[in-house]
Amino acid sequence: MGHIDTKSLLTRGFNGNSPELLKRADEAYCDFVSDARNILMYAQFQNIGQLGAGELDAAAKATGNLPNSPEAIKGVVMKVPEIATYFRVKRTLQESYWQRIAESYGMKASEFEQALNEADKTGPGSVTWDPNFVYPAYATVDIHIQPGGYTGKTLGALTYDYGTKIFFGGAGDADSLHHSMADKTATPKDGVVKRVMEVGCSIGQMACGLKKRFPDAEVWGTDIGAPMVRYAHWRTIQQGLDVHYAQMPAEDLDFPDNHFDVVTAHLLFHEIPVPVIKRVLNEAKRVLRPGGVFVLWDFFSAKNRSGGTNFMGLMDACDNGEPYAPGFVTCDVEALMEQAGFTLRSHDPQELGRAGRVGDKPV
Amino acid sequence: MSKQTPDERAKKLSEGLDYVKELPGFERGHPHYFKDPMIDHLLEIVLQLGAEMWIIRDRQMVTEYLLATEGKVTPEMIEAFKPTPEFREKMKEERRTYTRRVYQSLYEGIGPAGEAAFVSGVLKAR
Repeated sequence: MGHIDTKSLLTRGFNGNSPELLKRADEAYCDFVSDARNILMYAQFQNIGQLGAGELDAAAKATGNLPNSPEAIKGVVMKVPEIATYFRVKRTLQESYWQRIAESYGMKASEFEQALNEADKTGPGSVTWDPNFVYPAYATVDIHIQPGGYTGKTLGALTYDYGTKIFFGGAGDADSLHHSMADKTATPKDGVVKRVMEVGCSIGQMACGLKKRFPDAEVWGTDIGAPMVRYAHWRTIQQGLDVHYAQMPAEDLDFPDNHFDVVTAHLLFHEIPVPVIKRVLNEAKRVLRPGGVFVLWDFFSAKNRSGGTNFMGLMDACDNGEPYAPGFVTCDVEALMEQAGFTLRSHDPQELGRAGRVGDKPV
Repeated sequence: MSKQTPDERAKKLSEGLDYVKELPGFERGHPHYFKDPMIDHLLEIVLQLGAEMWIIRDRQMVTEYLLATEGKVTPEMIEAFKPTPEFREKMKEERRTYTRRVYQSLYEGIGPAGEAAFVSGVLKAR
């Protein structure tokens, strides 16, 4: 196969920074799914959460025990037709868009794989990954029930890219959410920013935002998934940005001590088990220089959530490929940051997108 | 890269984590939500039909637009079509009206819907 030209590969061009789906019908299908999620899910999130929490409270009063296993919770709440409908709609729409996106790009699977192979060897920026890497079991989950998750399929990151566009219901188009968070990312108190890293960078949206904000800094994106860093590099090349990507578990980084000024993790911590969270915090502390800053963007803690939101979160864990999220929201991550040696500058933002949890490595 | 062998590194990365395989959601599963799974299947079919119907409406709108502006239409023109911001907004409004009309009965009786947006619906939820 000869050189893969992006223009001939993407016959329908780009949608923001994401490759457009290869058929008009696929785009229309996903437009419908995105709006259906907004209208039939997000608009009903509060209602269904409150309804479910009310049913669970009533069951607790009647029996003296608050149902806490997934089976027990479902046994109580799914008797309400609107709740069962909500979760049926959610699961079906989620499965539908993953399947349709993968089918669309799959029409040119070998060409996309060739494009990734070629990008491996070109710049700007760079990518390193290990074809012999053995994934720990925790990293093999079908996160968000995407078949293959973040690690299992060569083109999984390409599918993930368009999938997150749908997931965010249009709010993240053209990487706007990620770039706004990059713009808000805290910096060291001395203002020196020469090296920046995002751990768990997935497809590099945040890393690209950080590069735009700190154009003179050396910016790295690392992720345990080879499909993620390879596609992130290809995607970053399309934007003409100089970012370095490497396949590395966030808890076992191949960087020297005191190397970075800023390390950030965006929506990583709710996708890893609590013991790994502790290791990641220790590793971030190690690679940050004294005075460096760790910025954590993720869900707010269970203690700051309503019962309805926690109920919805538990259901998401069970049936939407989020097995580690309940551990994260209940682990008191601020205390874990302090145990790792960070001095907390800001706490639970209670609203993703407003501020992160920020920890300074003491000078 | 790491000096450990891939297997050694995976073993190290997995230490103390055997429990994760038992967590709800570790396996994707095939859940159903109604006592009678056939209701789950019917809802799935209804959603798929809604999506397929929208594909036809989308194609019809694009076809009419191209005929009105270009005087002709071909399958290639439809595939290459990039709507103007105004036409994209018109299609979005049409799609949202259609979706609300078709599925409005699903949640009747549980109170007014909130804002139909990810950020306000989920990220700011309390």
